[in-house]
Amino acid sequence: MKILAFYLKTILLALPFALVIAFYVWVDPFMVIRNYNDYDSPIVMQSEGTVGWKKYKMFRHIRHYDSFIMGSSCTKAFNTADWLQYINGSPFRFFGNAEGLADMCLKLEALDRQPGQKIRNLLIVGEVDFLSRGLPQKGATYSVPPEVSGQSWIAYQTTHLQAFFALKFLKKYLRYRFTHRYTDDMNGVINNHGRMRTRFTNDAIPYAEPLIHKQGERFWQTPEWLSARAENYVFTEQKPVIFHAQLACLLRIKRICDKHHTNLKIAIGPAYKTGAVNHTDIELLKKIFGQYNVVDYSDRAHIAFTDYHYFSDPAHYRNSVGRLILHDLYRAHI
Amino acid sequence: MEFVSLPFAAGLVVVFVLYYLFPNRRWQRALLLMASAAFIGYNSLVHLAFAVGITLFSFYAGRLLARKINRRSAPFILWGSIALLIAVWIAARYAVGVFPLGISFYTFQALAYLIEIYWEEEPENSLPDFALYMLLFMKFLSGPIERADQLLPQIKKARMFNYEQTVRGLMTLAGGAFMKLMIADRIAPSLDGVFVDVHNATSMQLLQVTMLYPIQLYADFAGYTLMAIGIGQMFGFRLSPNFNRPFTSQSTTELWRRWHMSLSFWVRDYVFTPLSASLRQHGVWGIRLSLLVTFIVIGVWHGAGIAFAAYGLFQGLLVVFEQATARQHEWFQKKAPKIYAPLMTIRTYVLFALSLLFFRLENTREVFYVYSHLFDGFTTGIKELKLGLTDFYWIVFGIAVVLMFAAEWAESQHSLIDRLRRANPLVRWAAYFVFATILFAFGAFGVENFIYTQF
Repeated sequence: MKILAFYLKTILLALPFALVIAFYVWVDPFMVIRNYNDYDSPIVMQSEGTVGWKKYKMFRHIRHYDSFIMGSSCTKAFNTADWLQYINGSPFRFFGNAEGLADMCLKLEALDRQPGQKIRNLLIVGEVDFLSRGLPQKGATYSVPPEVSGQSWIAYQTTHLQAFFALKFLKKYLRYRFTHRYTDDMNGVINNHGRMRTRFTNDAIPYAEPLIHKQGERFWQTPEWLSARAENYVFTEQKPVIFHAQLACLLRIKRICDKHHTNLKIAIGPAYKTGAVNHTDIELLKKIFGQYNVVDYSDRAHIAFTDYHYFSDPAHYRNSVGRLILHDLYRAHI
Repeated sequence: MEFVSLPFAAGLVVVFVLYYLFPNRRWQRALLLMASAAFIGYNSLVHLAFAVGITLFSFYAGRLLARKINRRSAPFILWGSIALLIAVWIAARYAVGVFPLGISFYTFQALAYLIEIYWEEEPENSLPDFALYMLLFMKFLSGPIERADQLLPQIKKARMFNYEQTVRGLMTLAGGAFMKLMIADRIAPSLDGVFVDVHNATSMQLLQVTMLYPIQLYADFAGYTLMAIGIGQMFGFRLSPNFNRPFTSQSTTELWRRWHMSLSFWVRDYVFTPLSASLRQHGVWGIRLSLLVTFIVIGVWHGAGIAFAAYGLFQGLLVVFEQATARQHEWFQKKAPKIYAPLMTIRTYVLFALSLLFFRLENTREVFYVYSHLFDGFTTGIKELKLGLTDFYWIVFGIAVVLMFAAEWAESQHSLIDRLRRANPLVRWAAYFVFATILFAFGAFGVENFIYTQF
């Protein structure tokens, strides 16, 4: 009888946790438990790494992707339709939240492992933070499926489960779920934009552009923008960020690109008052990938790009900048 | 298979239920043997083959040794067996390219078993019992290194379900999981990020990770041991403790009586004692030489190469120095009793942390690079000191470390589990739920391996 009491008490202890896990599985807020037909209009802001991989797997057999734009959310300035003017191929914007070198490496290696996958064109959009991340990032925001990361399924799922039960997430999620009303404090947790990306190429839907056209100069006069613009800024270079771990990632990227004879371009994007990438890092990139395949748009020569009109928010430059960069990057080869 | 994994948790539940379904010795022994074989062979059948091979060899070598114990051939059988076991261990570890999990632990158990027989202990007559002694799953991967006279008598008894003991086992298991998930695995990626590329780290970061690494290692290894002991209790076994509040030690000598005790007692009994006895004609220098050799053995037990030998030598030199300066220590303790204890505790921790760099980096050049850059400057920004961990998780980590040390201190005064068992059921159940919720919400699941499974 003692053993039955023990089993009963153990079940009683586990029951609340089993119930909350059941609730989580039922709602699947991060869309990582079941497969979906549409990942582009989520309730909750997703890990772009996960979404990108799922969409790639879902459509690769009909779209035969062979050209990829990789990097952080700054890739949203680059439209695959614009890119197609300079390359031949089937493009896909394959980015991740605050993607770093190591995160990108994992993804590229996973791509390389896919049967029959070609990588004809690769456009890497980087900045200082991107280059400095020599180890894969942890957490639900940066997660990629186990097929990419090599971690176990259980580790992948518990990462999301715990992110769900983080109080600052759960409070906002439950409030939105029961009231269906978006409030400003839900920014970054709940998707307030509706459709976020295009279905097949994963291009960003540029929400800010219509607003900029409508508001004109007033767009850059919000308190956030006024505070950012008020900062005094003298052109500076950041410290070097490429050391052993980062170099190892770069060489892994180089190996895969060589294997696929990839047409690789690296664009270091303009930075709004955060300083340019160190010139020694740029020289190293050029040494590895070729003089004409790496262009630094954060350097002094491109200081015109630091005009705030080129930015939709202080961390992201606009499509028009993306188009200019594409034209400049590929002009020698047209 | 790792303790913190879904297959292990599911397997544990199934084996536990079946184990007490038919509480007779044969059934329980057969079930534990099958469970242990599945546990070891889950990753690779080669690992299982190695473990079974060593087990069979040790069993029959032990019987042969016992039969020839008073003959001239006995030393040859003993030394031949020891040489073979060590050769297999070295070959598997460094030459073959397949490193069988747990081999350092079960090889040391086998060595102790054979030496004890040579010292006229009785050999084990039952192969299944001996196999269980060698392969018992909960202590297979990372010990504790059990002695035959401790574990074999337990294996020979049938075990009825004991409610109190099982609940205590579960609580101990939960305590180990807390150390592993809340402390070791939470900080591991941040420290790894610096250790993987020390040249890219600032002086403050190097100092920070050097001082935090002993805590990570301790939480990882002691957490594993607690989980093993807890699971053992649930199945009716009493496994040996491996740690006894090592960071309260006031000397390196004391630290090694509190840190990885099953290994340090093993080398004390089977390396230091015989060696110092054979060198006794050299007086104090014979003892010092024995100490150095013993600690180098501890070092190379962890891995080949200069770095591991240097790790052992570092410890050995400290212990020899402490022995040589015992009088000065006594004098200092009498003169300044209030500051002696905290000062010596901090000194012991810092020296241990510095020596662990050999163990962690496995490269003497990198270690000396860190030593020479530890105090380069202190102008690091707060962002760099976060090592990629959010403020929230630094707070969680800090609270968890404080709780761990506080719980250990409280445990040294009176049993925490006893107190909890005597508490009002409402309080007890509330404590269970709070503890499980904290583990569930803040534990760093995903790092599934333990540091000591590589040995």
